[in-house]
Amino acid sequence: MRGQRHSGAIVNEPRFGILIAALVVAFAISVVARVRSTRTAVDFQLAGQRMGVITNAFAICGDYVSAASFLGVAAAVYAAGVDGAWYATGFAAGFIPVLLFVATPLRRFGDRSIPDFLARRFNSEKVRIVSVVMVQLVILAYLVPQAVGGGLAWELFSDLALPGLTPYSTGIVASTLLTSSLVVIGGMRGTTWNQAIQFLVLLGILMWVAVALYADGFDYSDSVAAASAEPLRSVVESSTGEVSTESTVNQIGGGAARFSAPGARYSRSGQFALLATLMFGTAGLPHVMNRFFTSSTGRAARKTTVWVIGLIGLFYALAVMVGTAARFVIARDVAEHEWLADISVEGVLRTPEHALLALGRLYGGEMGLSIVTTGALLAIMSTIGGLLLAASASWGHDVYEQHLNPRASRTQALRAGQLVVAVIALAAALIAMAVDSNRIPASVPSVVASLVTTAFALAGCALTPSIVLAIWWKKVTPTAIIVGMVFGSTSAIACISYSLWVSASDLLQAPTIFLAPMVFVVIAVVSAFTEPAPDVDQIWVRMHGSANDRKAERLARITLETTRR
Amino acid sequence: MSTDGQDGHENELAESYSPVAPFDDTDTPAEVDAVWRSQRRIALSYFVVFAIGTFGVGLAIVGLSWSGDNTVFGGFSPAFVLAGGALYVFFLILAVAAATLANSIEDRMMGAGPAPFGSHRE
Repeated sequence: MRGQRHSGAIVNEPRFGILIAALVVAFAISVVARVRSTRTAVDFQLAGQRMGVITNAFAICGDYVSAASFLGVAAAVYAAGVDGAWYATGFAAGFIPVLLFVATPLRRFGDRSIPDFLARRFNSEKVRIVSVVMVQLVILAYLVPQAVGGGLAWELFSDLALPGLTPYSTGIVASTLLTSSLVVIGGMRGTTWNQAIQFLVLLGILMWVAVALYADGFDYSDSVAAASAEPLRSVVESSTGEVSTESTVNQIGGGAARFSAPGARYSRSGQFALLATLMFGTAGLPHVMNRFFTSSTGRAARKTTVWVIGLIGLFYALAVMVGTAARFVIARDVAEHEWLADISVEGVLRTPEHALLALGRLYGGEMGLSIVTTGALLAIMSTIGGLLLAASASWGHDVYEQHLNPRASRTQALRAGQLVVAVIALAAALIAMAVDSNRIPASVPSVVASLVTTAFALAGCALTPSIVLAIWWKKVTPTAIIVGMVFGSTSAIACISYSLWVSASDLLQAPTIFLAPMVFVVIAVVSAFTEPAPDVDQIWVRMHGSANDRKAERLARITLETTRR
Repeated sequence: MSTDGQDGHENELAESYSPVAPFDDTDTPAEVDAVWRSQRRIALSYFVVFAIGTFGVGLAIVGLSWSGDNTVFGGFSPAFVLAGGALYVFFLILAVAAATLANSIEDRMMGAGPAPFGSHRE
């Protein structure tokens, strides 16, 4: 059980100084962003659509890299070798379909949110309302595990708790309250700067660990060879509570799994199901796609995506290396450090998520440990911030401004968006607190990463096919899009629920590989029998034409020349 | 939110400072249709390369035991090299190539470049 797993907490002496310093910087950035803001709903939700390419690329990475990536990828590699590295590959691959099919046309045609984009593409308020529901489902599926991650990270950070709350619940309250305050104060502009800096911090932490490893004589290829020389071992707990290690069973060929060969965690079909779910889910994640609306032009959105692919590849390559190093270094050094023996069994960590934290403490002492833990909390806050803004855009703009109060003033629209942030944060915190951390079984290798995969599956089945077809197929109809979104979401929820509560299956846990093609077919069939949206040619001119980009670029050049004169 | 008003203002401002007037500020449906078809072909082609590369590596890793049993570059197995680093490089190369090609097509077929055959500008 989680409580027993946590009994070996590795933060002996909390260093709140680093966390408080990080929070002070974050709030300062939000306040500066507020001062520079024009205080409109567009500025609050989209930073005035004037974000630079590199800033936005770092912010997208900050938005995308949650605790599931920061601690979870190193943990997955530590626990499962190549299968864990495969997990990181799926996360990184997701931006290729975004670049090829979505980023540029989405920015050129869309204004505020995914529902706004789809509603204007099909000139249909029904499409808007259904897509708001889909977006909220994905946001909630992504937000709750982040809040759970906030609780678990706080448990590692400190035993301190608010009156009447456990440390786990305190972490949830603190992470959602602080992040929603940052978002309300700084809006998209402040959140963008915060996310960009937070990603730099996370990347910096991984680089620091890598440099420390090499300074200590670490050799990457030798470590892989050493870790692969004997069967992969993992910690198991008997019914009497005794812990020991045993060889991990290879899910592909049977026998003992090895670090450098596939099969430690996933079956053959499971490997591809996971990869497809992560690859196709990214293009349907509202908090990531909303970031492209903040680009100045469609071409800037394209360039931003290329930067993201480079940065995110560097991040995951480092995370894979750190997970590998942990497998080698922890087994080597366990005899020299009592605290390391406390959190491991026969040289294997009880909780794989401790891999990066343990390296932080080995090479940076208590300070190093505090820096890594603060990084994990920042990763969670960064993702929560993006999700809250995406919720604000879809509720504030698509529901409040479009339906509840079409004559809303700028201040009313802004206030509605801010209110949505508070309400959604509260809802996520309450749901996450209902998840009893002591009931999360120790056998779950990365709770947050597993739950996040569910959000990717929902996005990949409900939203990605609709967005891609809306951009690239003139004959797709509003009715077909609605049917596709409803079919994709309900079938994904049904598959995942069946897998969780009836019969565990790799394919049903990550069903995008077979459901997304079915959604494409359903949309195509329904489109054949229903009426397409009007004025498709005009929509195409705006979505695939570059006139607005040229105007914006020319205006920027003229402004620059005028300033120089 | 519509940006038409904003676009109009930017347009006037840009033309009033323009060293070369008039600018080509509009895309015709025919131009856009031609560009869209080209971009769709490029996107699908690159996606096929991406899918074959990624799933092909996956197939090689799970289907061929030598990918996990042998070593290359010191102690790395081929499976580890591919999943732990080589695929990220592949993604970046693919992304740079696709973005460069997409940009050049827009430059050649819309805006300042010559009008494509069979289309006209208003």
